[in-house]
Amino acid sequence: MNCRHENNLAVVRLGLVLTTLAAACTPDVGSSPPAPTAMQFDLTSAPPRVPQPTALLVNPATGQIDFGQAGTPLPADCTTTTAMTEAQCQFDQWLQTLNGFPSLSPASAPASAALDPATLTLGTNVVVFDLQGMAPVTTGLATGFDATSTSLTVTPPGPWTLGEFYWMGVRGYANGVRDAAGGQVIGSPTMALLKQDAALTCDATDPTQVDPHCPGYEVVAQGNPSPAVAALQLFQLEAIRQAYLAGGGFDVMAAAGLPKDELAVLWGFPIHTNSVPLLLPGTAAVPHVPAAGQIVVGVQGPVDPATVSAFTVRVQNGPVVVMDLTAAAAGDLSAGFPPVGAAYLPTVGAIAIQFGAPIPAGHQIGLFFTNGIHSPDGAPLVASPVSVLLRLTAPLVDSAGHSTVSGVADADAAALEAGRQALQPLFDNPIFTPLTGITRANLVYCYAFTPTVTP
Amino acid sequence: MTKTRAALLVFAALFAALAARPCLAGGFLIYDISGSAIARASAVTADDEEPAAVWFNPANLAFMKGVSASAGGLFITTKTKFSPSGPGPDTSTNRGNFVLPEFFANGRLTDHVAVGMGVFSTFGIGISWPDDWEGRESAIKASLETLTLNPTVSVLVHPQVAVAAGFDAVRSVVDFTNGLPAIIGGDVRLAGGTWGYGFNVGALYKISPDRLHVALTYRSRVRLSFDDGRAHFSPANPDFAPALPDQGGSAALTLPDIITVGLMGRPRSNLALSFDANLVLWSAYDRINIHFDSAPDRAIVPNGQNSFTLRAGADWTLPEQCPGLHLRGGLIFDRNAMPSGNLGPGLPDADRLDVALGAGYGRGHFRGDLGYMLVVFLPADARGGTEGPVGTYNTIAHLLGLTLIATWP
Repeated sequence: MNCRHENNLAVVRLGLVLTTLAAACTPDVGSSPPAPTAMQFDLTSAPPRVPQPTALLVNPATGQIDFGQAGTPLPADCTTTTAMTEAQCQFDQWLQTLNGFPSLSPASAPASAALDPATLTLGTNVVVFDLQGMAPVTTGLATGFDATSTSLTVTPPGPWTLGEFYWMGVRGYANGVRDAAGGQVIGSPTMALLKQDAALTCDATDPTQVDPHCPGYEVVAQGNPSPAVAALQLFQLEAIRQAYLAGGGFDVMAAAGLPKDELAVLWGFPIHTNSVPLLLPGTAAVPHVPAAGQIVVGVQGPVDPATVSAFTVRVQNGPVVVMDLTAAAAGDLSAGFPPVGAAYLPTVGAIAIQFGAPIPAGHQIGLFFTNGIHSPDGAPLVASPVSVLLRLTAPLVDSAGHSTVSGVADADAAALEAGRQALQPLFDNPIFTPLTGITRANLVYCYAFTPTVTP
Repeated sequence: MTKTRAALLVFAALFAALAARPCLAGGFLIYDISGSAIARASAVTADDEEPAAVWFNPANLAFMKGVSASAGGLFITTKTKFSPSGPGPDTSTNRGNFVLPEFFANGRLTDHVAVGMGVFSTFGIGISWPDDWEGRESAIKASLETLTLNPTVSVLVHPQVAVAAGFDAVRSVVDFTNGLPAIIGGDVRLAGGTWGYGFNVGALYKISPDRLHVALTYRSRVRLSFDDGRAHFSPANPDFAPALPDQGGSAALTLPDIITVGLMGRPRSNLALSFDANLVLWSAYDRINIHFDSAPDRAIVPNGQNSFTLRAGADWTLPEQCPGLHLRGGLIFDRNAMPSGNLGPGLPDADRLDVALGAGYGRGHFRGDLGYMLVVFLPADARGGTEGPVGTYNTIAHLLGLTLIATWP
């Protein structure tokens, strides 16, 4: 009996030992090093983290910017939108009237972490290619890193060339840009798909026909609960890939010494063709006052001189309207619209406004141009972004003081909002439009300032 | 010295027990786990006088005298070849060699009550394909390991009838490596461990003791929930690394119920013929949803179907010429549990024909049993294309089992 008892105890002991040991046998699957910094290209995030500006927003059928191309069509009435701020909606509605991006748009490409600015070398690690000139741009552009938006930036010394198409590529991986910690910078899954040599759709003719074993579909389907949505996204990506190929993006980068396998990100964008009166406060693109009675506004692109004339109350409805806002605010409407002349100076590419008398010192002057000014081919001038922001009906900052328009810094938005609020009563005044012919829609230049003579 | 050796043996046994293993009966059931049972095609439900009856039918324990313990091991070697239906070369798995130890013990507490304990592996998957083969996205390596701890009680309710009930605690570890889509390249390894629990019951009726027995057993399904799994992504294309960080994950699968009926008849005193039929409810193994913390979820859909296995075995003794010697043989037909539309390389199941033979010899308190089984997987067509490439799997496996038993009256 004792023997049997001891044997039973041995069985129990063996069981306990095995139980204890067996519980600790989950395999160690290993671990990955921290993910490297990446140049981002995420079309599905909200808002999308993609390089800007981008030709992906240009509707090939109309040739105009169309946010519907990104799957985010704008509402007709911006007061109803909840997907974005009302100001953003109004600004984007204006962009959709253009056949390219504003010439004063900075170019940027988002990154997942800070980049080392010293490695953002133009011509080697950051390649900009002028498609019409068929040459890389190796001088003049400033590259940098904007910590606020965590983006690489490419800024021209002046405006981009009208009607030009620019390709921009960033060299990554072993030989390219480095992050702030000195690590390699990689591309994105989207860019990896766009770099594929074969069609992502495996030559399927429509999304319902995609082979589930098609390599591109297998990747896109990984992030999609719905096969149908995955197939649609695959077709959208393939359209982008085709556009990149047709636009020669990879070829021009390779020609400029940046082969496809070293591209961390590639994007391209057109600049609109219309001439534009330049306005960018804080830069040279502001009105110049060479003499006490003269203001000069630079215009990019050709202008038909015959379409440039000044507005005179009850005499001439010209597209150049000048107001003495200080006098008008004091109730002196006569002095509020001082008699001026306007002419296009083709040698300097500017519209010159000549006052009949010196501008009263300390008075704030408002300059307004309408799209009645044309280029020689009959195309109307278009506004620059600052003029558009100043004429919006929606606020440019929210209650927390943050900008309501992407790409506009909080401080800039606050400064512009002050100007917008100052001008808003004017635009809303019921006699302003009947008197001057200016509407928010036809305004292509809008700026208020206190002139200081700078010969 | 003795204690040290014993501890080393336990460690060695445990590591071997948790090494990757193949599937040998339908689905991934490894039913044949003792030397004598292997030799009889495991048709032993109604006639198993060894400690391994804890697995086959614990009701047998109530009829066994004294105290017994057994230790054994199975050596399994297996290789699978895949032939694509379209153009392309055949691909073979790396040969899998596995050793699975089994431990059993039993003893009588009273004249009517016996207890037993088993530590064994009866479910497992172990397969390894070349890293670059065409079905890499479905499986490169697949390993599911189980170790069951099974205490049981057997009661003699009548001189000819015994019933038994047991508890199953199943430790399971999974470790899978799958290729990532071709554009991404590289692979993802998923692993996790968990415990699952079940029970088993058995009955044995000796209609005519030692001449005609019938038996019935049932083993419950066991739910294995891998809630604390880990996934390690190794994309070859670095652009995908930020999107595929290492992360936690979870999945669950169910080991199927097993129902067995057995019959043993002894037409002559020195010849026992036995027949078993297993019904394995593989429909419980229909879908595995793998949830990742941040990566997209995915599902494996084996769509298992209930399947049966037919076993026939013989045990021949030579009491006058060679007392203590047993010569054994058996045949098995094992029905495929995975439909061709869902067949994948992680578990290339097929209809199987098994041939078994072996011998045992006992003297005094000790006995040794050796069994060999040839497992021929009939060609299995994979037609679905969702769980793996379309083509045909051919598998051959050999199983060699050795069990040593000590008995004290």
